[in-house]
Amino acid sequence: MRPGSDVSNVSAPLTTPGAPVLSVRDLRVEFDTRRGRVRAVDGVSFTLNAGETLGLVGESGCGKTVTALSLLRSVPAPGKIDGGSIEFEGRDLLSISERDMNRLRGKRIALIPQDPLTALNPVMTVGDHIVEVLDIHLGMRGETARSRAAELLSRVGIPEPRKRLDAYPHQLSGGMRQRVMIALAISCEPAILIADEPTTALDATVQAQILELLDEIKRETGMALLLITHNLGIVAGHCNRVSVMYCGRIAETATAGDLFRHPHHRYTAGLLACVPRLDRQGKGIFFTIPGTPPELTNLPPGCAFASRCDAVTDHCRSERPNLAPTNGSAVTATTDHLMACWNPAAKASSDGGADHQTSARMAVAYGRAHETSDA
Amino acid sequence: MTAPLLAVDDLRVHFQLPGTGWFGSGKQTVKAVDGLSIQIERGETLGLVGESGCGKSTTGRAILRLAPITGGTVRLNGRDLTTLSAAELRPIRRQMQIVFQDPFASLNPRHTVEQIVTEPLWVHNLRPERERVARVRELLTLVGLPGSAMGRFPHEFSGGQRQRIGIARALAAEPDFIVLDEPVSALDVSIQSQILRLLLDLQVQFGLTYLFIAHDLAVVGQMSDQVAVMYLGRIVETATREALFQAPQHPYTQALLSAVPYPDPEIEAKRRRVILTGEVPSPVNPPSGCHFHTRCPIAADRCRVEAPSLRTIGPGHQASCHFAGRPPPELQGAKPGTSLPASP
Repeated sequence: MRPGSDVSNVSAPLTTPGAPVLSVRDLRVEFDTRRGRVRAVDGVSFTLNAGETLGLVGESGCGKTVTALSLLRSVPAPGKIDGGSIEFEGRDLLSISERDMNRLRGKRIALIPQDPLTALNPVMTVGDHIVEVLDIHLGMRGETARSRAAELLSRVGIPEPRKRLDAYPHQLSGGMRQRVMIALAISCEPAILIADEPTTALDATVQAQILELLDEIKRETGMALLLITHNLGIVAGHCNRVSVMYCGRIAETATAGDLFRHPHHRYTAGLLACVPRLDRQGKGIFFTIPGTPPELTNLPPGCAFASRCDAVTDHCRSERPNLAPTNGSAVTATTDHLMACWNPAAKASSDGGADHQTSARMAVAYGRAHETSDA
Repeated sequence: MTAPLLAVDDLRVHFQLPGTGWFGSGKQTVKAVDGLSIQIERGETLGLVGESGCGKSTTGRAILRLAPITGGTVRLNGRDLTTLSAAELRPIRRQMQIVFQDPFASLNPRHTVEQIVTEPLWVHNLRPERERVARVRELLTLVGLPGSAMGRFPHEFSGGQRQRIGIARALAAEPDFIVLDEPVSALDVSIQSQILRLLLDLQVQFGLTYLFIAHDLAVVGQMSDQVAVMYLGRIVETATREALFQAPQHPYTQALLSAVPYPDPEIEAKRRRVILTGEVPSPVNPPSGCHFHTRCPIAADRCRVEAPSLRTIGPGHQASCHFAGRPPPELQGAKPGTSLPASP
């Protein structure tokens, strides 16, 4: 695994598809607040492979955005990264100089933020935004840069790209602004694209367009996509692998297929059951996870999900589970399903039908909901 | 059949934009709601779905007379609200309440929970004064908040809890009808389902009638008996929940359904998606003919000139599409109803 040697040239294709491009180990981020020290990210590890989409899923405050910002070393104050390593192109990003980091930001690792309106400078035209990036990172100026900018706009599906170069952000719709953000992000052909809730601010039909566009660009360029979202439906349709976060830690990591078929962690199973689905329709058909996540300033000693879990044991309350392979063996390079749960919903994913327990539990929950609504 | 609790007929809400020309000339009109008719039976929920700017929130506000009505009638319990004066309207306002989308902006940050929930009791002079504190405590219990919440301020609560406060405030007036304007779209999935369940429990307990406004069809399906789909100020399709999900007739409804992601990679891989091109056109200058023709995958010449009217397709099922009831063959494979496995 030496991705650094052959990706130094910007326009060269990436490493072989599937090779790890980024490796995060035991990342920890702390925020010193008036109410105490908050560990927003607590020992997060994951690998991002070329040409794949890794979904980072979780609810507000679970640390998914902070994790993403850590990869760019852009965690806002008072937050600071206080442990772990982020290996990218043969270097640990946490130990390189700010100057070197600046050369990577936006060039090798790019970010699409959630809100495209606040991310664009209102007094700069769309063209200025893109030309600035091309100038700083690639030394492209003048007409060359403008042509390249127009090309990028046309690539992301903006009609009349030449004309749009002179448009200001407020003259574009939300979907168009998000397309501009994507054009900016891919302008230097990054190895990694981080998309932080890229469609949350958009309408359903536009969301579908943007996700399709990201998939296309990923296929074309072979970059790795880190897709941060709270929407499990998006994960199902667009991610190869998924990590579910809860209270600053990864609760479960698996391939998308495995995660949805055999959710092991009780939180994953519950979250999946909560998502409203078109094929399980009926008034009052609900599954709910009771309660709310604990305050990060006041995490329990055991599993952070214990207070909301319906299968909680004494063990869960006393000892914090670590991320481990679902089959109980040691972690190896080929392990693709990890979970941090003492009493998982599915016991083993070897026989392909181990989620009976989950489905049975959900059936009961649905039945109950029916009764209440019919009462 | 008894009369519906709410009957809206040909509702129009037009906003005048300031002119762009000299001395205010060139004034333009936004037809935010343009000839909308809906009915909601007592104790039922109508889900109103559409993308931003389609006029769904304006519809909700106009029904409560919180937005100026340009034309049409709104009958609550058979009484037309559009002709009433502010004074005549006041007692009726008690019967109709609203829960807002943003639980952060809809609660006064300087008022305690007790003040927030008591206010409707003062305004409508409900309950003797000395019983009001007990009533507030009762309302908080109903929505799943502890009595200790009374003396606290909104900022001390999470999004889900704030939405519970908003619901308690709406219930305080003992309404018949509540407009739920995207009540869960600002909340996390696990909290969403808690609030939706609470709303349904309350509906059963008090026989409430809901207008449930949302952009997410999957959520609407969990809450509604009837569903109406809006596009640029008009209803394009309305049907029972089952009919709309099983056999959507309007291409816009079909596209909206196909844009709802499934939390299941196998279904997602097999689905044929109807991905619309472009975005919702500006309501200032909507397209000619059928408003949807600029994005419609099956638009024909006729659609560019002739606006379709809302036609009855089946029992309780109406759609405003020239092709409704007989979709062209190429679109049939893309219908969510046909590409999905049967409900478990």
